[in-house]
Amino acid sequence: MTRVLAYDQAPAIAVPLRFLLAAPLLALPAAALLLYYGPELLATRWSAAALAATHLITLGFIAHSVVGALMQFLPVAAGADIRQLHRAAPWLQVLLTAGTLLLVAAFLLQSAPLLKMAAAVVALVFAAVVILAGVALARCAANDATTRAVTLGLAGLAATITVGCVLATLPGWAAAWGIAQLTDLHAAWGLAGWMTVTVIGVALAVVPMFQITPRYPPAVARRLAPLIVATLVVLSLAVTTELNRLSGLRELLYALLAAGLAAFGVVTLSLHRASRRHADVSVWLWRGGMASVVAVALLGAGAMSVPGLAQLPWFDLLIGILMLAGFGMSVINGMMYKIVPFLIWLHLQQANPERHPLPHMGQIIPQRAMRWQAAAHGAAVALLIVALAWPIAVYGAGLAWAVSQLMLALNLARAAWRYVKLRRELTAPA
Amino acid sequence: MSTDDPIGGRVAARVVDARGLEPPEPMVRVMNALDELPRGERLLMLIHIEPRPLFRVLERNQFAYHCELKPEGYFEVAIWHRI
Repeated sequence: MTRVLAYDQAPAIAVPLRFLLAAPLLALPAAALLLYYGPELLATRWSAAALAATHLITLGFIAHSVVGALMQFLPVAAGADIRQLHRAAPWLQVLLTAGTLLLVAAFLLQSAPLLKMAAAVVALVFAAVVILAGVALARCAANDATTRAVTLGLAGLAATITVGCVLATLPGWAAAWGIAQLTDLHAAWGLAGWMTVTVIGVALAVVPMFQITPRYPPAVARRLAPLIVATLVVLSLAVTTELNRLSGLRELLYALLAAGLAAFGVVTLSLHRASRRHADVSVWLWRGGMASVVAVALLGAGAMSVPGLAQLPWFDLLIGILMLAGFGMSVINGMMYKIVPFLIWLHLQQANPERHPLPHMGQIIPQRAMRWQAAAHGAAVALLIVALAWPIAVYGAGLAWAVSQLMLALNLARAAWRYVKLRRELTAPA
Repeated sequence: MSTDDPIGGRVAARVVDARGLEPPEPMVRVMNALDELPRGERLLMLIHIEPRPLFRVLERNQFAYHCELKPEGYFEVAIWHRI
């Protein structure tokens, strides 16, 4: 029987997949850094190896995944016309990979010229993403909480890169504002203003859809992302203007950010509890991510009430591990296991007007392979935290990290190969 | 969200209850049901989230629709042939 109806015209599957497949491959060298530098990497957040590993995660894994997901999400969920962004995608992916590796080399070699070159490449890529996606979002009719949060996430990305470029290319200005304060601002915009706000926007749509939970409460859906971004705007003014002199203002703003993160984590965990569906690998990865974000908020509250806690050498590192590996990587990993099989199913449908039987979406990546990979990721996060108190555990963390990212790369590559094979069979002449 | 509803009020010939189903099952069931929907009749889809990607598929395939959030917290989408 020939299908009467046509499925929606999604962008070519290679557009999002090239970013999603590159993500674990770029997180993999962080394992080599953990194993090579050992306890030295986790001695201080300012070590060259810690800065290199952080940017392999933020630019290599998280930025690649977020940009890849937006390539699919913006036209499908928001109805945005991003054909220009799709056309630029192959170049953007190559430049983003090059920028990530240049930045990592710049940190490890402590080379100022290399740092400037890396900043220029990364800034070029994100300027293109922010402008092309921003214009498309401004032109599209959708004005729901998801679209608004994703737009705010793009503004957060622009702010993160701007502050990062000042740190990398204008050391005089950075010193005038205070390198440590400006680095904290760069991290706050990156972790909260870009990563968390984008995750919130995507979660509003995909958590109820793929994890079969009730919808987010309207107050959380409408207000959380704007509250986080507004807090970061005031924090930026506090760091760069006379507002800095107001005693307790920065602490109050960081407390507001912590409250926003806690609200997102607690509400998402309560939605998972209210779901009547069996929790699969994706849900467990999201639960781990939400537990991490709640832990960060509790650490923030602890820092306000226990004097000197935030100055302990492990404090910033623990926040970084929880936010990047515990929260960001876990939720992205969990969503990859929904989005990649769905994309493959959708594109196979478009090539299958005769309705030949095709594998179920849940069979595209074997459940067992996903469970083992998620367990390796959980072990890597736990061992990184243990290594802050017991440094020798960093080697275990490095091994678990390597296994987790290799398995993720293999799981995604196997799914892509299955798509190529099935599509070839569907389109082969009878 | 809706397009014109020239047969509003008419009893739905068929109901697709997709509440609690994981993608792509809601889309598969509604597409299969629409393949067989006679002109002048309408299909009612019940779903736990607003099925926005479905709306463009309906428009591409010359269907009209009306989507409404029910007080019970699910969406009801009425679909009928535009021409």
